[in-house]
Amino acid sequence: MSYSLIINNLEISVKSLIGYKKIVSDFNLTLHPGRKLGIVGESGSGKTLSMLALNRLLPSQIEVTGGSIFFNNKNLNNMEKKEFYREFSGKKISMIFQEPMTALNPVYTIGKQLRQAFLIHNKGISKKLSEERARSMLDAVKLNRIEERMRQYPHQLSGGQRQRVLIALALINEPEILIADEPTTALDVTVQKEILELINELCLNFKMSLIFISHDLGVISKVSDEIIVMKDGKIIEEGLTKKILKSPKKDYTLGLLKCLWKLEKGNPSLYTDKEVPFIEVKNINKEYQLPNRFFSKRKKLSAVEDVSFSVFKGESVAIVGESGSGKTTIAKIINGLEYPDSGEILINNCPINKIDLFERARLIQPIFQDPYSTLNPNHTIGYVISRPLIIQKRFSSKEIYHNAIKMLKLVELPATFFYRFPNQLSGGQRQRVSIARALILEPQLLICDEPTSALDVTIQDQILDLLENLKKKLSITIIIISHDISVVKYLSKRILVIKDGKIVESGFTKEVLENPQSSYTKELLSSVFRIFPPKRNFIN
Amino acid sequence: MVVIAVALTLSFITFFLLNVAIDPAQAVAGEEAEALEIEQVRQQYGFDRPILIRYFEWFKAVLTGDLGISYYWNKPVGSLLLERAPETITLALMSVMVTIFIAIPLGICAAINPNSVIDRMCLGVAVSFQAIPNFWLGLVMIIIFSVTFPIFPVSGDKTYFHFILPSIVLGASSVPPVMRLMRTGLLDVMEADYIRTARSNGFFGWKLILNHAMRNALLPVVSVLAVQLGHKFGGSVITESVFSINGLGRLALESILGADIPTVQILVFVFAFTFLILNLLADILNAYLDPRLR
Repeated sequence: MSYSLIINNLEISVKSLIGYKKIVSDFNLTLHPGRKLGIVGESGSGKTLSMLALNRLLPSQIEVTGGSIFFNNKNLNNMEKKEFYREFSGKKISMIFQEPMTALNPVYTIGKQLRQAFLIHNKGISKKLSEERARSMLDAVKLNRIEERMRQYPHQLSGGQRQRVLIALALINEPEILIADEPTTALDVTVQKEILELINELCLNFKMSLIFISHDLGVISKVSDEIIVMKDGKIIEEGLTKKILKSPKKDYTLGLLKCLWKLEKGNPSLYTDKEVPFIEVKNINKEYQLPNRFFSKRKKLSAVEDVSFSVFKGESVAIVGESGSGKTTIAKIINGLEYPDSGEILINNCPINKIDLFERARLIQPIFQDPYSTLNPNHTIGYVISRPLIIQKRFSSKEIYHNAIKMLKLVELPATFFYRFPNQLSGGQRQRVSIARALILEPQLLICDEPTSALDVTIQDQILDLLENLKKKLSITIIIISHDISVVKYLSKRILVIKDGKIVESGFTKEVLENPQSSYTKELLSSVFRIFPPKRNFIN
Repeated sequence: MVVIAVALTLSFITFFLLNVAIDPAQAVAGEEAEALEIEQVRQQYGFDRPILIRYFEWFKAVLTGDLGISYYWNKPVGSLLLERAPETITLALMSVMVTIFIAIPLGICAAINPNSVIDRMCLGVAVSFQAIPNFWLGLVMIIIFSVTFPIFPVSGDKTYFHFILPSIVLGASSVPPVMRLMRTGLLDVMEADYIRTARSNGFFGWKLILNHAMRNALLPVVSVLAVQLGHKFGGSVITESVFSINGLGRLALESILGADIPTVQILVFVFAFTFLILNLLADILNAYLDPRLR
């Protein structure tokens, strides 16, 4: 069973009214049996598009305009559409995708979807045999309670379980090449680790070769023998994984690595002396009522249980935990967007519910996760930033304008952005706008809820730098919420690890990370992929 | 529970409005009746009592199965309904079948080739169906298919054959909304991540649509079809008149003209209640189709 995949000078273009615009060019790739190849690059670098082109899944306005794809000396580009779908899709080449939450059909059971995928390439197989096959695949991806899973619908499974089902779906016809497009980006770190181990193991068992796409060099380094680095639709570097991690030739690759190293090292300037508690959280509890089903008792979900902590002036504290651990609920409660069922929050020794809204807005400001949806697309950046001042009603329009321009400068954006609209900005720029909007009232406390998790690593790095500078300049207190320990390490002095609504560990970041006490923290730490900087220091 | 509450409120409002809008005693006594006669009727039928008491009495009677007696037909309203209902039910069901058989294939065709000539043609056919008034389409159909080419009977309701022309006329008007919903629904679904997954597994063409996309795309269509069927039950007045079918629509028309309060009262209630039940059925069907709604 010898085969190989060779892609020569692949060129992909977007079709528009004025003609074609190249977005990927000179893409070359050779994949031999059993090899594992990683493609790394920022979003928009063309890594996903080239793989979609290989699989004939390109969106309708995007076309392959040049080059060739050979699989065992057969040119796939010239092949009839029907023949390709019949012979290759899912049979020789399979793909798994980034969004396990939406990549399964919501209206069919897991069992049915698996059976259908098997039947499409194996016509006339009995129901019993195909069911048998589906079961054995679920077993291969290490799902438990297989009988139950077969009858379940996608919405009844967790993200990790769904990704396992998708892998089972991709492998059910024993393809020779598996393409994994950021398969773990949407998952928690602990789950991510399990899935990567699973993919590695299955590649061995099924004797497949793997193409793994990710923006995260840390993840890529765990699953690949070779790496291709892409930027702006071109391959800028390729080689063995070990070699590239040790001595990258291009500045861009080095830049990617540096971001990871910097996160690794932590930031020494954070350690200052304690002062008076600025904010005190005392025994807060919050329960949510789950939507009731017919004839059964309403269930309650306890999101936050008896959480207490305090934050000192000018300090930065991180709250770390997986999704669903209650960290965002805590942020909402401090922000006044939710009310706790019991317990209280004191700011400067004054209960938060006694502070009036205008006053509170000048004390606390939030920064949210998703810079794409938190800015109103119908308003200019200038309006978005100055709105907090407008609401406060104490400022003249001249003052507001000057303040907004000042804020734009503070977050290192040009003043011309004042008249732009959010859709004209990149993700990083939008997050800068949200920071400017939060800072215009000169709050004393910033609550950042996963401020960088929607951004590329290089942008992530810039935003973290910005937050760090602002903290020094404005001596502002920051509560940062994240699932990513490396982000937290860089920015915070103290850390609270939270699980199922309870604090399981707290202490100085350095101590917690070097000597974690609870098993959960250890688990969180061990599932972050690290790349250590080499001893020889060639960064500067 | 909500259904029952809505039905109760509705019955009261119709009762109240009907009794305020028309003087029931005048209606029973006839238009040329003397004031004295009207007064007699008023006392005889008990129209001089407060409206609330009359409502409760009427309601109690309805609950025990006594729907009242029609002033105009001099018959129990219940038996009137039973006489007329089968015609309307047949017509409504058949016309919805027509809608389904025209709208869903058109919608699928349009969605498979978006913005193409086929798409535009499907849309054109659908819109022209909607733009043509019912009575006109009915008359034209009679002229073409009954007079020029005598394939179908002109009017009447004796056999299912009689119902074919009217149900095409009635069904045609709900083709556009259903067809458009089918088209946009399918287009949306084809963009979904799980369709990409299915494609990468080797599904294509009709198999992809039937095995993976249809069920998701049908969800909104089901709700709209229920509403359309509701309209058919209540709104076939014109079509029933054109084809002289003795259904509930004509009964409603005649009793309104005859100021026959008990019949109108029950009819409004029946139409509304069918609407509610149909919506409930649509919700149940949707829950069957989409496990997330369960």
